[in-house]
Amino acid sequence: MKIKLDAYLKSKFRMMHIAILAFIIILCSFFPYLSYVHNKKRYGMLILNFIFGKNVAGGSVFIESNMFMQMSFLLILAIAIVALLYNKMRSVLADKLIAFFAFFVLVTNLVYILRRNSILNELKQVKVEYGAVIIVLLSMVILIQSLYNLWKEKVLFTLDFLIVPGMLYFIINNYIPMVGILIAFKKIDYRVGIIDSPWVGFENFKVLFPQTGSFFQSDAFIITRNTLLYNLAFITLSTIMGVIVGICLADLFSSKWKKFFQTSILLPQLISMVIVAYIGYAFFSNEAGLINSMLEPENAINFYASPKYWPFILVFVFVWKQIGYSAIIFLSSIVGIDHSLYEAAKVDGANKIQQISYITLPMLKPTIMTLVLLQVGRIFYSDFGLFYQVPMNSGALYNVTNTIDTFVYRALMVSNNISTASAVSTYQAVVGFAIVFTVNMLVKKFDRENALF
Amino acid sequence: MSDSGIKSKSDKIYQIVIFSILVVLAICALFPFLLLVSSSVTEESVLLSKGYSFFPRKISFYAYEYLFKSNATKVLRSYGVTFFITIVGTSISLLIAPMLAWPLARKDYKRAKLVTFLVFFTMLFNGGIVPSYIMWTQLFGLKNTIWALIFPTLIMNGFYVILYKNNFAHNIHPALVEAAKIDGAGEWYIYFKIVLPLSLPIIATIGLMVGLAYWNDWVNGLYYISDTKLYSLQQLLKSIIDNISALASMGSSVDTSSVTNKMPGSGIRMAMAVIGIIPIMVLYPFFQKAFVKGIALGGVKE
Repeated sequence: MKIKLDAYLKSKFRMMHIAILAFIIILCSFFPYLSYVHNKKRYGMLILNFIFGKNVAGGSVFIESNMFMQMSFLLILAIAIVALLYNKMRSVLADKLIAFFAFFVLVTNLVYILRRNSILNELKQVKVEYGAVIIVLLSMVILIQSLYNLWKEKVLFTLDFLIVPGMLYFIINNYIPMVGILIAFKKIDYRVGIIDSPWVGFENFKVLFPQTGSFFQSDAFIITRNTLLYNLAFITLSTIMGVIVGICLADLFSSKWKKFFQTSILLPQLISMVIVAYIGYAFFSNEAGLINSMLEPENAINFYASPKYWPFILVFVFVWKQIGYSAIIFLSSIVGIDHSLYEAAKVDGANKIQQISYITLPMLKPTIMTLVLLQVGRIFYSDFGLFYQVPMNSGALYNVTNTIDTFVYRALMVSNNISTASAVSTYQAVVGFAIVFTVNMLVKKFDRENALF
Repeated sequence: MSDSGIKSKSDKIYQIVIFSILVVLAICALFPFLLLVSSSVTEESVLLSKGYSFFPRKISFYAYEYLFKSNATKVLRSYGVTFFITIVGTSISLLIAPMLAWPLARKDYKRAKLVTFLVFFTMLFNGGIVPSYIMWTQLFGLKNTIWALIFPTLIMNGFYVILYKNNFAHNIHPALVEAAKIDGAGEWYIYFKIVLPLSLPIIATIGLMVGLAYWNDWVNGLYYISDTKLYSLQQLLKSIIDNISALASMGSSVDTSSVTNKMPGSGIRMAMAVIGIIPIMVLYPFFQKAFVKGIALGGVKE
């Protein structure tokens, strides 16, 4: 058996089994692919039904012919043909073609199976049948065989296989949604599916701007203003405070106290914004809040309905949570400064303030630049928890707490308005990217060393 | 600079100034936690008349008793969900993120540049939550499954991969890889038996950051989970601060208004917060070093 297999793999028929597998898949077109329940009976649907379209459920539902299923069917035929012509082609090219086709077939069928309920939402209890399982398994086998051949041909390396799981995650989690920003230009209708929904250009963006009234009252202006101004305050304060605390920690004489302070100012960094909201509630609530219980009852402040306090509260909370983080970063780069610089300065009679302003701060400049740049790059994004949960999602405060991220959340999940939500989230992605790019270009021009990329 | 010693009078004043700055900050950082703990053990009637305070005026553990007697299953269940997603999510992250970073750190891997760019680009641009939400719910059907708390966003990001990559490039000498190859080791063997054991510190550090992100996450729950059985600890906390009666109504169809009246609401809220913080506070001394190291990595660029 072993010898026969070897002989087969060396013969000119060595890819026959791929062709056979492909023909089995083609045969699967006549096996049930999905099944549904109608009048308490279960009916199977063949691949052919998806390719040519068919009336099902007693003629009440029409399954449209599906472009991707037609493509997938043609590609399986192509795989069979390539496998038969294998020794007449350059084998690398043949393997690449087979791998590409099999990958496409696999992905199309997996997507189709995963989406079966939304595609066939008029049918009840849609189930995956053995035809679909066979197609998925066999196309996987074909894919693996062709990848193995490519590895043998030294087109693919073992290192390529190491990056596969990680890149797969980035493709799914990051790259597919990038293509998805196009839905901002569509009028989403779930009944026809996202791909078939009609294009509407910039229609979705219009609702952000009022037809009457001032631009400064519009949602677009308010959320942009809040996001930008809060972030500017956050960046400035957390950098300045971080540098100060970093210097304090580095210069503190007692290492025991240093450890204690470092541990305690890092505590807020460990907890979630929900816990921060609890702490805020303990201070600001009407019934039992610390501040209101210290005030006279007639002077009590209804914090969760008074917008004027919130800019300060939010900035304070952000700095409170963030300061340990920035301080540690600056501390670690102060520790890296060459000690002899300070010794030399001391010999020259420089006092502490002079040492800080002529040695520490200039040496910290690259770290400060990096951190500020990273934060400026995210200036169009806000901490959702800080602006949503800490003010307890209070409607009276929206004018000062609504940022791009909270707006998108409310549009998507509360008012179920997909078109507005996707318009704003596209606006955020595009302008945010433009900002990172511009800032980095400017930095590159004036100060090559400190550019991000 | 700490070993230079305190010599002059101005040095002494400087030490006093920085010490007082740090004391003020430490108080700011610690007192809110004290407020939570002390309010959670204060009797409800005192809380209602005098409000929350830093030191309990009249001690009572009724809030905890209430939580653990009549609501133990909800609290423990949410703990279970949080433990599960933290462990599974962090494991997946530690399995795939360094594996992606290692080839990128290799000088002899010709696709390293392209893939590094693809990883880096995810840090600059993203499609936003709306396409992600539609993809995870419509395509993968993650809504109201435990996987919704694990897969979206949290497993890894480009930044972590770049950190791993830089660490590998600095710590694993190419000669080591060459030597192993001459001895007949394959790439898988090199990665699992040489690279990973030599990189345990960075893996522990980033693993801690990922684990903390899972433990503290509630936004995925907010978007994808409405089934109270799948509430993570943070989401349970969130639903309770939004509405104290959520605790009573969860899983039962009984009219909640009568239950709510009997509940020591103000104390329970604080007790819930304490229950939410305790595991992290208990473990903090053990992971403090790795945590500080992980933060310090954030300021290092290439």
